[in-house]
Amino acid sequence: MASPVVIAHVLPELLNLYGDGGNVQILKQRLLWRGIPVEVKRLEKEDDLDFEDVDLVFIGGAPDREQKLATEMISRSRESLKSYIDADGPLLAICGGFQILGRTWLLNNEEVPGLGLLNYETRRPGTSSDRLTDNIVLRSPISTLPVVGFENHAGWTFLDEGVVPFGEVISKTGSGNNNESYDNRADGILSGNILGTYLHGPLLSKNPEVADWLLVRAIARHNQRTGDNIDLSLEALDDEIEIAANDYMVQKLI
Amino acid sequence: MSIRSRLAIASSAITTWAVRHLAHRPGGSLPGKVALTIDPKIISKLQGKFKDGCIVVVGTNGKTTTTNLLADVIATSGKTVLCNRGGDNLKNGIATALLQGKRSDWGVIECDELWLEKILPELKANWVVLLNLFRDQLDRCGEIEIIQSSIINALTSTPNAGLIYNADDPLCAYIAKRVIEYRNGDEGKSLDKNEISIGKSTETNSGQSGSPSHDDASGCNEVEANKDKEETKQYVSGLPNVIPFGLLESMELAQNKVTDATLCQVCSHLFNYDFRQYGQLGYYKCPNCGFHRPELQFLAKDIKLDVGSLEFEACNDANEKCNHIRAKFSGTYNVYNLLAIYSCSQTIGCSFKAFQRAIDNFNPKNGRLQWYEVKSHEVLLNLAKNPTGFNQNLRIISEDQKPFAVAFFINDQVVDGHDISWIWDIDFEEIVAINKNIFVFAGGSRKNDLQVRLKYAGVKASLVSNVEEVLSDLDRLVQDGELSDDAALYVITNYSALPPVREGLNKIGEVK
Repeated sequence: MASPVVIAHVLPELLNLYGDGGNVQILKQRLLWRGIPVEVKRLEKEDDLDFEDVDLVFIGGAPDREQKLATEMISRSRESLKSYIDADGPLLAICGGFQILGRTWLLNNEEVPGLGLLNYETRRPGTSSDRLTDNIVLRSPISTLPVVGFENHAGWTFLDEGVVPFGEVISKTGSGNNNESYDNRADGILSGNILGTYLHGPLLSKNPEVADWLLVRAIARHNQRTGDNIDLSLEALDDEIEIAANDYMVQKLI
Repeated sequence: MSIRSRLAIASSAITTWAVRHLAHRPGGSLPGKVALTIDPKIISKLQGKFKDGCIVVVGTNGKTTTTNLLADVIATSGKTVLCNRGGDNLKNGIATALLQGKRSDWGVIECDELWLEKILPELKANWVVLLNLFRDQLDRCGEIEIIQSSIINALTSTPNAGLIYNADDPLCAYIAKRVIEYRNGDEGKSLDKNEISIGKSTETNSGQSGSPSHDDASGCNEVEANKDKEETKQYVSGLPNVIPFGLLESMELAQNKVTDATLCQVCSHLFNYDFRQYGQLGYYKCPNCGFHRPELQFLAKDIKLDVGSLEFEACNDANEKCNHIRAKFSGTYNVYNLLAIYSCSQTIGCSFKAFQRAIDNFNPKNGRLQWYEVKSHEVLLNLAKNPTGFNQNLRIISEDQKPFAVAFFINDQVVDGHDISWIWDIDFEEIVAINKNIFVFAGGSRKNDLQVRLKYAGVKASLVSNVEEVLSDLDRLVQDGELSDDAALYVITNYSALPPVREGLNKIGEVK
């Protein structure tokens, strides 16, 4: 019997906006349905923030005040998170969680330093103060189905040149990272096994292929870390209900 | 009154007539919209309609129920009341209510939190009742601090308005703290939303408040009622006039997984809780700066909750005078709603007799905790707009030990919020854990999302287009012997999903 695949939910009490915690529940359930043992570690306190024995990291978003405190707490474990990322550990970061991995993010309309682990900045909008809030659909290289979600953010994110976004916006509504630069109408970041995005929904609820993309990478790390030999070709699940929910929004938005 | 105002009133009257007689609909908010277009200041011109005073009710959950019941209590005291009972709580709706209502002793007005900043200075209400602040329609409102700032600004720009607030909610207590500081002159003249962001204040004690004396006279007389509203002083000038209410003891409820505020807004430290009721409500203390649940001026204790009823002791001023409250409706949140109404009605001088009689006769018929009989099934319809409301509803129905059916209807209209990701913050797992013999239906424009959410909670939900379909499916389940013919059906909907479900139930069932 393999030891459990470990999913780390970073500061779940602070970073818990817009149902994002549902992503962790979905990841866990999709492993259980396949008979793969799984453990969700809720990293509640600063001392818990150690990523060595972890196979998949989830960082959600939060209101400003909570996000600031969370960033301070994570920054004191930055080296552990950096080693995890350097060793190709899979990571899903949503909205505020995505922002704080970059060089700067926006706190009360002021740009403040982020963890500086990835190559982008989140800034105040240059020409307008609009919050980007809408339904959004992406075309992403990691999913054959369009990726459906909901964005809701004040800060605008600008990827460095050459950095690959999570997907291109293909819906009538929605902006993605920002509304004005060369990467406009693109959302998030894909960098190695890291997926950062603005999409709530929660993201994985209507995008099962994205969930499985993360799970394959988590299992690979798990096998490497523990010597277990869990099959990397994930057993197909019946995703009819998820796909119907995806399709309803795609029909409405494209 | 100016010609402009007279014209505005006349135009709205024509609109009211047209809406009622040509479109066959209740007034809603269109007449107010017409009047506001002609005279944007019409609300301030009409606030003189209230002889004794005016109360505004705000808060995320429970506004409509609280507003209606508070109006009932005052009316039962023998006073006339003008009230926007239908829940049209934006500026147009409030203007409509003022235009259509007769001159009254009291106004009881439900107001949207974000509109309070604009409405309160014009309405010049005597009291604001603040119920709670939960995450609701976030894509419309932005973050919760914007809502807090609207309420603080409303109260600082309307110095004669008192505040009666839920002290168990740290988000409300923070508002009260800021208002008290402002009224005591501890803070600058203007407050904007940046100022309430990260820990500006250094005050550590929020327990302070005005302490008006309550007289026992019935009849809702303002202590210093004054015909001239501009000059009305409710209590001794200079007191902040801020009244906290809350629960003395824990209701010992299982906790749901998502709460709104665990951080102290004064200093950004995590709160410690002696006990939590639900959401962020409870007895909180900041270990860093000392900010804590204020001393209660009205409190509830000995709380007993049942499937279809609740009772508790409501006390004034630290236990000195208590009354036993009984209601034939349930819901932990209704303890707070009733305590808010009690606090306000006692403060303005209503008798307890009027209070209890109004509760006994309460039957709002607006789809909030409304019972129907369809064939031999008892059907309970209720509204829930956010995870906290939903979780409280699931609490009520999971008390049912017999097999039952439950239908959820979720829409994503503007009034609901386009983002429905909050359904993942609802503990649907709870009903499965408690009762395995249940049948679940998913409806509304986002029924597919609901079905996914329920799937991950371990619930197989059937998709339905309307409530009539739920009842025909129920018939089939009864015929197949899966459910007994007296099994209850619980229907929970969000805002825009409610009217069609209610119309459906009105057609096929009897209101109880």
